[in-house]
Amino acid sequence: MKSVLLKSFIKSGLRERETLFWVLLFPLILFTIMVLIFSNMGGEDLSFNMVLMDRSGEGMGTTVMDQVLEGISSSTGNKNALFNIREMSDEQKALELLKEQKTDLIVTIPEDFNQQFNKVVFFSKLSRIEAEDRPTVEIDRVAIRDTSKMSGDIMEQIISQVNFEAAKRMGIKLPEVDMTNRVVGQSEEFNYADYFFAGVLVMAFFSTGLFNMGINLTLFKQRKIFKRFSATPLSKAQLMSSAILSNLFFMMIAFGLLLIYAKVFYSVTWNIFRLKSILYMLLTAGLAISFGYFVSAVSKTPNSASGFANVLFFPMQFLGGLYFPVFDLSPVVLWFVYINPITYVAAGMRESMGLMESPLPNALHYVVPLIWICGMLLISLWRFRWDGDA
Amino acid sequence: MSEKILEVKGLKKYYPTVKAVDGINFSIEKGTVFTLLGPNGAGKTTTLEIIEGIKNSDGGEIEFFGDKMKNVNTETKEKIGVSLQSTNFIPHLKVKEVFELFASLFKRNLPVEDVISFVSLDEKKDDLVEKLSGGQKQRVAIGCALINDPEMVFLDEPTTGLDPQARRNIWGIIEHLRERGKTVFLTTHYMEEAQELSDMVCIMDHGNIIAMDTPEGHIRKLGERNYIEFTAKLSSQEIEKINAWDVEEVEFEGEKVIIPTKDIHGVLEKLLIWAKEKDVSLKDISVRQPNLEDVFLTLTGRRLRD
Repeated sequence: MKSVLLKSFIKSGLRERETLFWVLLFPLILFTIMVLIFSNMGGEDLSFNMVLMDRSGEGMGTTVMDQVLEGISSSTGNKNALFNIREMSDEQKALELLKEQKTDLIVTIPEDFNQQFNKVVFFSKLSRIEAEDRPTVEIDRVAIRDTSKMSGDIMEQIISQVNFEAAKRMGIKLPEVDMTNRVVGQSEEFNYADYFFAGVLVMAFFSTGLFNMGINLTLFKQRKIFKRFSATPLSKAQLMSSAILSNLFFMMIAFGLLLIYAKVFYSVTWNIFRLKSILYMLLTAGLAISFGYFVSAVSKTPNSASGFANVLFFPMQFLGGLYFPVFDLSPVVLWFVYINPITYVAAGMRESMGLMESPLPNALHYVVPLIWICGMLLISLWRFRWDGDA
Repeated sequence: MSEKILEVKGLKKYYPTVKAVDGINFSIEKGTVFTLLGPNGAGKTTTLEIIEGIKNSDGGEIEFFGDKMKNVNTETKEKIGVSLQSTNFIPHLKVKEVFELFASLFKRNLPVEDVISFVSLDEKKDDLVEKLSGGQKQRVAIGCALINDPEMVFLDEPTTGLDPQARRNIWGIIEHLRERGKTVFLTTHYMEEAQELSDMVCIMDHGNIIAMDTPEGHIRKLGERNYIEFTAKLSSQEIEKINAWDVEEVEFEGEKVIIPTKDIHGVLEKLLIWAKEKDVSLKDISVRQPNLEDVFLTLTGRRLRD
């Protein structure tokens, strides 16, 4: 690495408006847009599959529950219904449906629900209600599936609605219904800012690698700037390492800005000092650099490099889980999800943030991106023409 | 006896479809301006790039500063300066920053301010290079080639595309380098440039050297020949008539007629009398001595820029 050359690359980048916008500013804008849109999600098209196991029989509590569930069920012809409710009695079969991703959650109304409900109604008048006396609805969901987590969160709101309905009907002090969660894996409050932080960070790194590095290296080749350097004692290794380090510098700046912005304005909780977090960042940077090198190796002009980078990056980012869950996608596109290295670094990064468990085997988080890095570097070393000649 | 700074023996560079350089031999003496002339595709830039260490050769030997090598090594690169045909630098850098960058690449280098003054860019040193004119950019390129105080400087078509004033400025720099005892290896499309600046001119075509001599030596080989030039629309019969005089084959450049002859007085007299009798208008008539363009035409059968 040659420090003056590195400084020159950095100066050149900092004086270029496009670099400043796309590499440093755009990730902040995208992050803001994503968080604003998805934090207010609950839109028209959103619906979840739910299995209802009602073991309570008839009673006051069941009536209240049924009426609330009717309001949210699609079976009543409600166009804005959030849940497609399927009633079942076999717990084992219901759990299998949950594992097979055919339902997002199971709601179980236990046998003693009405008994507990009536007890609360009676004792509420005497103000002698204990927390353990409250009727309980059981929820089963899968922690690592976003739809499952979201539907569970929504169900909490619905239970509040049950409390409200019960109070309204009886004109008595609110008999609170509690909800217990049985969650597979980690259970934490879902934070959209955390979710998109990881996605936008990967996007920012790739944007720097593919567009800043990929296009600039192509430009330097085309304009014979590398050729000029090859007539000096500077080695190709020094030249390339300086180019790579200058792009790593921009990635670090983009990361720093995004982290500060996300922490200050959106309370992102990511602890970057975890070893896993640092590893995933390095892996993502390595992937972005190797893809940028590849783009420059197979492109003759900056325009073709830009086009090629776009063609590569669009499917990679959208089918890599940067902005929405991808493991539930149809098998037609699922193969691309699994060969896409971004899938692994994005899932790994979210796992390292403690945000959600990755459904992928742990070793693959490292192996797949490393295979891509090696492959891209080998092809690039073979194809890259320093003198810009065909 | 003058000292050889570079000697090339049997240098080759073959591509799948073309022999770009086909076993050429030449040598350059210290403190001279050596010019390689040739049309596009002649192999001169490939030759230059092998000697500059940009490309590897497929055969032959290069003896640089007394050291024999197949391809140019890093040690040799410390002692040479290069200005390529294209004059691009890392974008958005200032003139001074470009010089500082190139200075940092060599073990030995001259003070940046001195080089900036030498190429007359003092007033532009804080400007971005992309804002400079073509001539100024070319001076930056030459300055970068001089930053390591090289013993030999390679200038590949340094004046192509420049206006006459800018071209003269570059000529001045090359003259100055020769005065300072530097060896200059020049390639150019411009015959007058080669004639004005060169101590030795090597003419290359189809990957081979077809002649090498001083400019005067090349011209002397053409003999006593001179050229009468004028513009006129002549019929084939009229051309036949002129060819029957004591001239060599009449040449044309559009409507321009070029008559090579060793009997300048006799042919000129006949031409004027004939034009008066036939009422032919001879515009822009002139008589000139032979130049390198004529040498090139005689040797290759075509003009340099064909």
